[in-house]
Amino acid sequence: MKSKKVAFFGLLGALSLVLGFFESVMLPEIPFLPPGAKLGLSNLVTMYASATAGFTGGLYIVFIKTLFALITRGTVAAFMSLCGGLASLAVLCIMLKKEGSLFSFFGIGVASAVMHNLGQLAAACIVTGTAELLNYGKYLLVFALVTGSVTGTALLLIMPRLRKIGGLYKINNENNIKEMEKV
Amino acid sequence: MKNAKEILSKLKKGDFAVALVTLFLSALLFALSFSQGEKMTARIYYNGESYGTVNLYELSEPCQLTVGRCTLLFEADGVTFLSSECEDRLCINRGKLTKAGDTMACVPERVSVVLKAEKDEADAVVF
Amino acid sequence: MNKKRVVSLVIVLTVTVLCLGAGLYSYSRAKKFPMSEKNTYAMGTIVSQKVYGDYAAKHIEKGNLLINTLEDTISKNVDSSAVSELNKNGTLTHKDTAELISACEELSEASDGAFDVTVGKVVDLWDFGGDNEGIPEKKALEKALSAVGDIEIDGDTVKIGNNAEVDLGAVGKGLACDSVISLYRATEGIEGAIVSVGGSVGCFGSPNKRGDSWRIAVRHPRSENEFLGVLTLKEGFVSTSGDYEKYFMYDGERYHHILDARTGYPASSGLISVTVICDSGFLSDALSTACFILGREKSLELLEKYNASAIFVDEEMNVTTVGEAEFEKR
Repeated sequence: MKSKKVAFFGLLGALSLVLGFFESVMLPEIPFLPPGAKLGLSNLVTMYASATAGFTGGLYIVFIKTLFALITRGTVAAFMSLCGGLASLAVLCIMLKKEGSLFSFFGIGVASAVMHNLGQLAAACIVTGTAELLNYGKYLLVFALVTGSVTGTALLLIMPRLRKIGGLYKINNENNIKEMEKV
Repeated sequence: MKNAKEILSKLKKGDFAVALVTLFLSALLFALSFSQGEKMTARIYYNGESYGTVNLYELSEPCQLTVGRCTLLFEADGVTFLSSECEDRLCINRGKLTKAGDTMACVPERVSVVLKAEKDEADAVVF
Repeated sequence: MNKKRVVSLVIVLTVTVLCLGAGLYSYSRAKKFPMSEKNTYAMGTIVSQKVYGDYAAKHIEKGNLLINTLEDTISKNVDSSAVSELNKNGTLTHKDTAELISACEELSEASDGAFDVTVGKVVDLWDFGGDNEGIPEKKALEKALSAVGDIEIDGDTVKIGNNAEVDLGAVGKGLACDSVISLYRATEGIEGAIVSVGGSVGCFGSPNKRGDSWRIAVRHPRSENEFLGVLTLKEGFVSTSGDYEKYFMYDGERYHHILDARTGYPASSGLISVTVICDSGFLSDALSTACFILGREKSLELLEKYNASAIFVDEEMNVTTVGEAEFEKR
């Protein structure tokens, strides 16, 4: 059982890192935006992980991303990744409970993207001690709205297929996390 | 490929709320910021503390300053990150900060610069 | 999409539009009026004006003209001025000048003689900023001091004694602010203005439709590029008297230009800077000098009498405020 878990989350984690790398190659840094603003493709993985395995699932992914940032880019990057990831995860899990009824992955995508960016912004402010960085907030919100819509819609479209395939956790038709059955 | 109608049909009430709130917040933030000043001051922060200020409007020629492992260029019309030992180069790619309220930071180096309009500080000085 | 969805979509869009509208509206209120700025040199110092309103550009020149005219009337350094005439001939009949000097005399009494505009000869002896800057010789000083207060006003006529000389330097800048602000107040199309003559500032109106107050920074008495703090003023006049404006050092001691009219020497009340806020430029200028000389305790009554606020800075850099002025320390 445990090895299955490791394999599952390991795969997902690797996937999120690859997506992150992929998007950084595709899109060079955007001027006029603060550190941390990116397309957020790896958020797809986090959303999926939380959808299938709850808060803990998402947490594993966040930790893998943070660890990777720590090893490759240093403490500061790791801190920012952690803050953004946790903020995003929190909102993600709250909203996932109502997925299908009140929210679709579109809204969840947007909200988690927004929170991720805001979390990173807050982290940048703390590290540099500059509250003025918050000025970027207004641009970030719009940016996150767009990127979140993209990733959210993408997941919205493929999630039904993913559910059919199933994962480590058997997912019932309504994808109600409470009724998850562990395989 | 799925068409737009199919996607739209899957959207729920909450989604609109989310998009709306985000738009509203950003509109609010945009509305709240409007500082235009020709005379500017650059505030430098290092390691979370105020490192110093440069009155850009007093500069007769560009001057450079090295803070930590970043080198900043101060000119009468703005500030640029010239070079930095950090990896991501976001600070350098930012270009020149020219308007009051503009800010940029080299987060790994913990260096940040904020432009403030002198007019924002005071309309006049008594001495 | 079914009806419910359409309705809610419409609601959402309407709300978004309203929010954006609210944002834009508040932005337009906070946006400043067109502004005209002009810096010139008059009364031996820099005059800087910021005038807001659609007709600012047209009228800003008038402000400058007004100041020049005032200088030509009250400056003792201008040969043809009314004050120069008074100093030369010992007598002058001129309504405006008599009124002005009368007001100065009133203040002189209220300040127990600390402030007095007949100190002209004493001021000359010290020659701050001039070639003969230095501590005057005792006899000469005594002679000049004896003439202080030797003045008589009868209606529109002013008479001064042989050794007396009138010097309106302590109130000139405040007066200039008074006249310019009055002019702009009466001018249609000007929504607000802030004028600075030397270190005296006058303001009225507002730079935008929101009615924002003016922010006036007070210079730090010992550190040139720093501020003591910022005053928030809707309208009024502010003047500062400090021991750092004109002074020289001798034997490790500072001799500054704010002379106590009773002693003929620089005032030593333990203060290094006094800023007075009042609804008259003339008063703010005169009071800042008077309070500097009198010291904090003795100034309290004077300030109350003229309904003025003040910021006192003493030798140990203790900053205290008296009155209702909104001052934010740095």
